[in-house]
Parts: sequence; structure tokens; C-alpha cells
Amino acid sequence: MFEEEIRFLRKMNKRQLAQQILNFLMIISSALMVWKGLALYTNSESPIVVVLSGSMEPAFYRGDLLFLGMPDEPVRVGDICVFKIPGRDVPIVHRVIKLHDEKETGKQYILTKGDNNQVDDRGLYNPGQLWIHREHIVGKVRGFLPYIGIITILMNDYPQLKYVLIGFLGLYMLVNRE
Amino acid sequence: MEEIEETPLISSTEERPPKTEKKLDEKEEPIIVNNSNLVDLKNACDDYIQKFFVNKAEFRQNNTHTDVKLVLGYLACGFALFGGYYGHITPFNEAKEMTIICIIAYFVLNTLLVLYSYIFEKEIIFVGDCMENDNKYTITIQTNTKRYSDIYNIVYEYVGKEKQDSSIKIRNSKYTFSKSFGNWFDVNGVMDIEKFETDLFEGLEIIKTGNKPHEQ
Repeated sequence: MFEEEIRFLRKMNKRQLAQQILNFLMIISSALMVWKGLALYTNSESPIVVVLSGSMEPAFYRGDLLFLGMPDEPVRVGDICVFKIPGRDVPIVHRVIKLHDEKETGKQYILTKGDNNQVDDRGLYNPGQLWIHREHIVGKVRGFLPYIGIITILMNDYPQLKYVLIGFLGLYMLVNRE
Repeated sequence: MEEIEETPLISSTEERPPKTEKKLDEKEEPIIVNNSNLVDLKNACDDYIQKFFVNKAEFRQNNTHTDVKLVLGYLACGFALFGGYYGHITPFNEAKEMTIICIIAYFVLNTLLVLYSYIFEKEIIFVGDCMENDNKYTITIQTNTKRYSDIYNIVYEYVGKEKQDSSIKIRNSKYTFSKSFGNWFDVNGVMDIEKFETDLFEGLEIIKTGNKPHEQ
């Protein structure tokens, strides 16, 4: 299956091989640096996220791509925020429905709820947790692009697909010049 | 895993007796490329030129250009991957400074890389030198193709430092050689190595002796 590719790699000397590997690494690191740059620019840990649930319908559907930003101004009621609950990996995108500012410290006590949910998010927070705070918030939603995120969802549902795709891309990069 | 034999396609199209069975008979496997792909053709020729000057013409290859590019490239990737990893293990706000440093380093190194190949490397594919009775000869080969053109241009540049009594005489010569890829590749994309070598040798002789070639 890969005979030709292996032959191609074996024909190269070590500098050419290093160059091919570098080409491959360059693509990964460029993508990484663009992502990190975007994160710094928007001041959000992950500036682009994919909606995984229908809890914000009809605003956002499964597979929508959301663009986040974290401005310096405080969070306000009505903002749609992406937040992470400590100890859980998957961030949640819901709307802020109740908010208290502490006068002295400026600390914010935030309660969220999904537009399509019957109840607020206290059931989703950690046991005993009544509020989330600004440091839990990854970003406010700035814009969205429908459907595109389906690819990500598919790859998350079928991780094999992801590995096969990455493997083929990597091999393609390694055995093609320019 | 053993490589048993070549594919039948090669042996049927290329039934030429093994003529150049000298010391490198094992490495002299046929070079086959997709002859409708100019990049492939150029790469095959570029690679063979390097092999030719090292193995046949006995030049010592000077890899400075490649090494500089590799070092810059791997350094840039190192910064990028480290930045990514560091950002992964530290909270976002604490990792900000490090991320900025990594991004700047990455882009600076990449810019240097591009500038280096633009300013210094240009189209150079081979730099090598050889010593002949205390005279040092340096050869630089540049190659290029015009877009959509089958003409392969080889530019030889030759600098000889010849010792004459006490002084060193520097001899400079330059020679450009252009031919269609069709001269060296057949319809199946098999490279006629001997023909290509003959042409390369001719160029080398011209540049060494300084004689102009006869116009045809």
C-alpha cells in the first residue's frame, strides 16, 4: 500500500529527510501559532468553539461555530457566555440571566441558563455551587457561523476518522515536495 | 522485509544493459518520475546534479545553505511547539507572556528563514569544492525553470583559486546551459542518466577550461 511512499523516503539523504519532516512540522506549528495569536488577540482561551448541544436553540444549533472574545468590560445580564466549570473538560455556552457585582472587590456572581432549557444551570454546576465567576468564563459570543462545526462533531464522535485523516495528511506532506 | 525485484513496468520499458556498473552499481536504480509534472522533473534533475557532483565529479558538498535553513526552521518549530505545550499545562492568563514570546520568536525566525533563502540561497542547489594540486575550486550550481516551460536552465559558477608561485590567482567563470527536459526523460518518465551526465560533464569541462562551447 505504501511501498512507493516508503521507497521515496528511503531514497532521500538525511538533510532531505529532515527538510521533509520540517515541512510537516511547519504546518502544525503555523496553525498552532495562528491559533495562539488569535487567542491573545481576542483575549480568550479558545477563540473559536463548536456548539455541541441544542440547549441554546433557536439561537445556536448543534454544529454552529462560535467566535468568542473577552473584552475588558464586565459581564452583563443577557450576554451569551462560554464558561468552563472547574473539573470538567467541556465548556458550556449559555446566557447570563442573573448577576451580582460585589461592590468592594468587583467580583461578579453570575447565574446562567440555556435559552432552550426549562431551568437555570445550578444543576449543571458542581454540587453546592450557586454562582460562577468571571475567571470561569472563556469568552463572550461575538459571532457565529452555522453548520461548519459538524466536521468537528463528527471527528469527536468517531476519533478513528480523525486519526486516519491526520495520518493521511501527514504522509502526504512527508512524501510530496513543494 | 526483502525487496524481491523491480516492478515489471520498469524492466519491460527499460531493457538497456547495465552499462555503468562501476562502484555504484547498487545505487544506480532507474529514476522514474511523472514527466507531466514539472516540479517532479526539476526535483529529479536537481537531486541528480547533487549526486553527480559528489559521486562522479568528486566535489565535496558544502551544505551551509541547507543547514542554516534547517536550524532556523527547527528552532522556529521548537518555539511554536513549546509555546503550545506551555499554554496547555498552564492557565491561560499566566501563560500569556510566554505565548507572546513564542509567537514573536516563531515569526521572527520564519521571516529570517524566508529572507535567507531569498537573499542568499536563491536558486542554488549545489555548492561544492574540490582540491586539485593545491588549487581550490568552488562550484555553485543554480537551476531554474520558467513557469509552464520545459526548458531547464543550469547556471554554473566556478571560482578557482590557483597558486602561481607566491600569488594566488582567482579565476571566475560563469556558464549557463539550457535544455528541454525531453532530452533526458523518455515517454515513460525514465531518466536517461548517462545522457544527463554527459551534458553535465560537458558543462563542467567548459567552465573548468573556460572554453566557449561551439554554437550549433
